[in-house]
Amino acid sequence: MQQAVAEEARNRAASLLSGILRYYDTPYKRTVSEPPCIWQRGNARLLDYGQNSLSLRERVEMRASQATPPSPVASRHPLPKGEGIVLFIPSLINRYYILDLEEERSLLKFLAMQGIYSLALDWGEPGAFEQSFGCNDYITKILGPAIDFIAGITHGRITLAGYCMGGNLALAAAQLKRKHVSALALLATPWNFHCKEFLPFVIDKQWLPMVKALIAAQKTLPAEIIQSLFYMTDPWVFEHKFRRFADLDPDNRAAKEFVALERWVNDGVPMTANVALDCLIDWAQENQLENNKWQIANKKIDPKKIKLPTFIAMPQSDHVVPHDCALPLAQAMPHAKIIHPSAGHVGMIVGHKAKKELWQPLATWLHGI
Amino acid sequence: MQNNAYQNLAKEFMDLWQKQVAAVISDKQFIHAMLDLFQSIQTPGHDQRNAAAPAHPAHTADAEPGLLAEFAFRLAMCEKRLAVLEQQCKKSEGKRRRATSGRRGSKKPRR
Repeated sequence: MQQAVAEEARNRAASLLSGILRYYDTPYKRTVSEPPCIWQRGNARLLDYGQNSLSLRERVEMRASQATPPSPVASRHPLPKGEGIVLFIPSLINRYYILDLEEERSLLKFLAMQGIYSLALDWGEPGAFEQSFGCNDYITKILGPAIDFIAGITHGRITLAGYCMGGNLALAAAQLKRKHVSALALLATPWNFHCKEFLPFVIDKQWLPMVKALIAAQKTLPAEIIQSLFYMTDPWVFEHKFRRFADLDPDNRAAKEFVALERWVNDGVPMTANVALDCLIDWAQENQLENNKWQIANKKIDPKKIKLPTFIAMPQSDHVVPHDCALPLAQAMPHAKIIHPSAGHVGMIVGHKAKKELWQPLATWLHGI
Repeated sequence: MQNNAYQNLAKEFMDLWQKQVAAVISDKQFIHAMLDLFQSIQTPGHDQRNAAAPAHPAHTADAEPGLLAEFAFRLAMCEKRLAVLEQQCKKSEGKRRRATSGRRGSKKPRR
């Protein structure tokens, strides 16, 4: 028996190493062309995915911006006047391009094909401008002004669509910028950080000063550290996925998709120390969101106060934002249209069922509001 | 057939072991022990007297012996768990051997 166990362990280790080596040996370059940037603040950029949205473009009146653009690139890309623009807000810790991973795996391009004019906020990496930013600053100094910029050109209200923690930022912005926001889509957005899956990671209060001091001492929290924190919730997920990859035919489409996705996973964005304090302490440890203590611009962010048409996607196999973590947000917004894609956190956006279970329902909802 | 049975058991054993490791990593005691260790690494010994008040009561001048005691305790617990697992393995192997020899005469299962 010992021999069989040793052999199994050796096989697993060999398969894991083979998967990792093959991943590193597989050349990959994301070939998707980037849409024009129409606004910039610090390292954050507003990318215009609506340029390809011809059917909408034909319907709307185009006009040059009357407002003073914060960035010289803005006036070259006027937005359509009126309502209907959707602003996608990704997480601060992952690149925005999961929403446009490959030509045929692109939520943003699919929406453009459906005549929906989308913009994506690429947060970029924290630079000199963002160095001291917490979530409050990202919302009030980048997201808010981006909404003002869009509203200034279109003279219409926009829909905010946030993915993962981008949903939390979108929710806060929807409350703070009521006049400019007409609807809200929240995709895999966390809310209750004291759900059963995360509860073991809620540490005793005596440790908080030490952890806070450790975080505060950093300029930024590297993406690798953030990723390893996620692996703590399922330490073998890495081993499982690379062993599965080792078993795939390298020329198989699934193998290529794995590499594309894994490159995105490993292209994380560091968190500023203040965002890390917000997310790891205020959200994860003190559960401020669920406890109705989260404040942005000195205002309590309360989903119950948001009566906008709302779309919530809660993937069934989400290990990053487990069901019970997202559920209280949906319960606080009983008017919301809720869908449960049969996928995980990322699979919901780029998986094989994404078109049927997320893209299409989202497009239908956007057309209907 | 015998080989397959052992291979399947070995797979099951590895799956269970992975579950056990995952459970240990998300165990509050383990997380606190890691934080303790991390804090002791962060706090250089020669600076300890001048350092600000520690966040955790364990980090007084005798933090190191305390940490060693914690490690010794954890090691002992691991050894104990391993012994139990080995015992269980031997038992189930014995049972299987008896069952197999009952069915197939004196033929012993290959190891």
